[in-house]
This record gives sequence, structure tokens and C-alpha cells, in this order.
Amino acid sequence: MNMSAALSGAVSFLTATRFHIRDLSRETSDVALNLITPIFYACIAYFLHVAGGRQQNLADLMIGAGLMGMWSSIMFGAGTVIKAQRYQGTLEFLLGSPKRFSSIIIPITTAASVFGAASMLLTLLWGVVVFDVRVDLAHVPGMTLAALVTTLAMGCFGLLIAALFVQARRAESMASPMIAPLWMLSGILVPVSGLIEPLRPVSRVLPMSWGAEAVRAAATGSPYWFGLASCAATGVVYLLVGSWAINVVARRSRDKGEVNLW
Amino acid sequence: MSAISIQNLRRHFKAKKGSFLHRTTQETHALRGIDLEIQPGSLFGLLGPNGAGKTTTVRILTTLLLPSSGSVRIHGIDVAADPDSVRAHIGYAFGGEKGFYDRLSARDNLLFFADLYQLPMREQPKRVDELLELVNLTERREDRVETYSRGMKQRLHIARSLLHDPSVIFLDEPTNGLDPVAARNIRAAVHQLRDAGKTVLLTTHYMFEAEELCDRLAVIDHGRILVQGTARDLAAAAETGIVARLETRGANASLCDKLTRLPSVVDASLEFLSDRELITVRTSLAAPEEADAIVRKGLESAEETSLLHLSLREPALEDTYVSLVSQGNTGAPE
Repeated sequence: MNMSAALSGAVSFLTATRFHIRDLSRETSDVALNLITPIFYACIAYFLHVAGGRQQNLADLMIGAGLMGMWSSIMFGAGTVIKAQRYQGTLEFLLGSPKRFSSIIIPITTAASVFGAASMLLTLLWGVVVFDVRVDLAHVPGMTLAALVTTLAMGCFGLLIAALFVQARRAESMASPMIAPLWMLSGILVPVSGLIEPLRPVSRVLPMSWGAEAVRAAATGSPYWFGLASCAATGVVYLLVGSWAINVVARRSRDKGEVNLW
Repeated sequence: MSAISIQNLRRHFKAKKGSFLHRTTQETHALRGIDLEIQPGSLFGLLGPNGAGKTTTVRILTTLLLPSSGSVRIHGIDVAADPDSVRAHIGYAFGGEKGFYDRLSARDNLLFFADLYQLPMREQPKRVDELLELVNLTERREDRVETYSRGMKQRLHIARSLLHDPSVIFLDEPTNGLDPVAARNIRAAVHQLRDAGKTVLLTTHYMFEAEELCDRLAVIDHGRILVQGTARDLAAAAETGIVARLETRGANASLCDKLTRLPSVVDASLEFLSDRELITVRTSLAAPEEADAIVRKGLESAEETSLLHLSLREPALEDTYVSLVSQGNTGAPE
């Protein structure tokens, strides 16, 4: 791929992502939920802090709670992406365009992921404003970078979720029971070291685990590059696997003529 | 080379039925061997009742569905083997109010789809504005699509189908559910497409629309093409002659059956009005007096029915269509 094609692809991705963010942000009730829900996540983090005798770092807990919100947004957003397109009748126009289906869906899952990132930042903001969480301003750029990479990596992970949920008639019902296990596995609710031994490797293949590590490390001024690089690397793997899966699903739908995608 | 070439196209679907424990699979044959050749620049009408196979055909032509067997080519490119190349040559507009991001404006929507159709970024705004002008939506271009009427949305569908200047356009029931003025605007837009040299395949339930717009037509039913050609060819194939319209009192379905069994009667249908019945009898007769005589003879045996009025007219495409579909009921499963 030459430089010009890569640049054009990047511009196209950003334009499409912006389009879907605008589309998602036009629903007042969704925006209100995205503003209000982080308050509850911030409260959970604070009460855990108090219940634990104020031993744990409150900023760490607040980031963990924010990541929980981010994860929920991604599961519901990416998991129901195909259903939403089908419902509004745009799916067949997306499938019938000359672009690869995966490159059309990635901006949508990334838009959902951006909403998730906003949820995380708002949780932290509520923590700072209401619960007196201390964040060193010098660490904000590192945290922002880590949050950005985590957002993109989770957008890629969302692509795989979207492909897996195509077969589900009620994708949102499947999303709910998957949220809590992944909260635990990715070490955002409890430390990975608290998991039973056989489950620990699972957390290493989730971009959220690495993203959480990177954001937390950046917040305390610790080295975060390894976590960040691992988050990006797992994101790339999910991008490739998710692209393959969603293109297979699209092809299968054309072949079988099944209602799942229509 | 034909713009669209279809040879022995077949498509079947498998549908699961029954409960989880007693699940069975039923195979439905939507298309049973279709052949069509559509020349560049022509406006071709595909007519047929619901479930006849029109939409399945259009979905295969637009690369949204793969054929079970047979060959489908657009400008010589195989739709199954090379869908991406085909997509660059085709545009499509399906009827209905859905298909857009309703919370965003028409212009936003078209810019998004322009990118999907890989128009160069710099050309997109100009092309989008041109098309909004073409479909008379310039004044409302910044309004949310959810505030549009059905007719406006349909015009927006057509604008989207033209974004990448395709040479072949598929319009699936574009005037379905529109008021007469909106439908007339859509038909005017279709005329413009033909004048611009596009190849258009149109599916519709409205016979007058097909008659007004299309150069050639095909009637499809139960997954088979019953007949294709010009409207005159179709009339000849259906042997449609004079149509008698009877206003009666006391008529019932059995009278229609009796009339249908008469020689030279192709079809008879009954419609109940508030204080009378309306019977339409389609014959294969060219002479009005012969049609008049045979219909009156048919009524003689129905003593309980009184004839209030009888009028005769030349057949329209709708009569041809009804005759073809009622004659060509070949829906036995394969």
C-alpha cells in the first residue's frame, strides 16, 4: 500500500468514525445516560475505597470503574451494531458498497468505543470533582494517550464482538451476561492476581487488561509503554481476526440468504 | 454486450421450522431458472405478484445475495465471482422509508455513502450537492432525514443510487406507498435516468407506471419468467382481447367460475361494492360485439343476477398482467 492510499484510508476511517459519533450523539436519551451512568461508576469506586478502609489508591479504583463503564458501552454498542443497522435499513446499503464490509463496520465499533472512553473520562472527572481524587496534571498527557490507544484497541475488539453477535437475534441479551465476566477477566474490577490460576492467561489476550494497566501506570507516573504497546498489539490481532470474521459472516449471509444479516 | 445478462438463474432458501426438539428444514425455490437479457440504455420492467421472485432477482443482481446456480453478469462481470467490480457499476434504490441515518441530514448521509462508494474526498461535496439539486432537495439538505416525507426519502434513495455515476440502476418499487404527486416526481426522475443513457431495471406493482416508463417488460411468477418483450408482445402472449366490465346485483363467485369456463374468456374477477358488484371479464376476443355476446350468454344461466350496466374497453397492461399471472400459475414445488 502506498503512502497516499494509506493516508486516504486513514482520512476515510476518521471521517466515517466522526459520522457515526455524530449519529450516536443525536439521541438525547443515550447522551443523558452516558453522562449519568459514570456518576454511579464513580460512586461504586468511592464506596469500595471507603469499605476497604481507604487502603487502595482511589484514582486506581476510579480508573477501574471508568473502564467498567467503557466496557459496558462497547459490549452494547459493538454487540448490537449489526442489529442497529438492520433496524434502520442501512445494512444492505453497507453490504452492497464496493468497500470491504469490515472497513465499514470498524468506524462504527470505534464510535461506540469513543463513547466508552468518554464514559471512563467522565467517571474520573466525577471522581475529581465530587470525591477529591488527585490526578497529577503532569500525568494527564500519558493517561490521554493510553486512553486513546485503549479506545482504538477496544474498537477493534468490538469488531469481533459484532461478528460473533450477528447470529444472535437478540444481541443485547447476549451482551449483558458477558459484561461481568470480562470485567473480572480484564483486571479492571479486581486485580488479575486475584483470579484463579487457569484464568490469568485469558486476561493477557484482552486489550482491555493491557489498556487498564497502561492507564493506571500513566496516572501514577510509572512506565506505561509496555502496557500500551501490548494493548496496541492485541488490538491489531483483534482487528485482523475481527475483519476476517465479519467478512466471513457477510459472505455467509450472501450465500445462505439467512435473515440474520438482513 | 448486454448490460444485464441472466442465464438459468436459480435460487433456493432453506428455512428451519418447528420447535427446538422437532426442527425440520424446508427448502423454498424462489427462482427456478430465469433467463433475461437487458440491453444498455433500456428501461426494463420486472412485474409480478408478491413472492414471485422480483426482490430475490434484484438482490442477486445487486450482489446482496449469491445465486444457487446459473450465471448473472453485469457488463460481462460475474456478480458472484467479482462483486466488488460489479458494485462500482451499479446503483440501487429500494422502496420504503428506511435506509438512512435518520438523525443526520441528507447531505451528511450522502457524504457518508459517497465515501463508501470511494469517490475521491475532494469531489464528494460537489457531487452530493449536484445530486441534491437533481432530486430537488437542496433547500432541505441540512435537515434531518427523519423530518422528510416518504416521497422526499424516496428521492434521496435515488440520489444515493447515483453517487458514483453507475451505468446500471435498480429501482425496487420506487413509488410504493407514495401519494400521486410524489409518485409522479419519482417517475419524472426515472425518465431523466433513461434520458441520461442509464440502464434501469424497475420492479413495480403499478401497471400504468410500467407501461409509461418501460421499453421492455417481463412478468415473473413463482420464480419463472412467464413472458418478456414489449407491452404489445405481452398482450399477444396473453391473448388479451376486449375487457368487459359488468355492474350487477346478486352476483357471486360461482358466476365468475362459470364465466371463466366460457370459450374465449381468459379470466373473470369479482369485486363487491356497497350496493352492487363489479365483474371484470377479460377475453381473448378482438371484436367488441363478440365479447358482448359471450358475456351476455354467460349471464343467461345466472337467473339470480341482474345486469345493471355493461361496458367494453380495449385491454391495458394490467389486463395482460392479470391474464398472464392467472394462466401461468405454475407454482408446483420442484
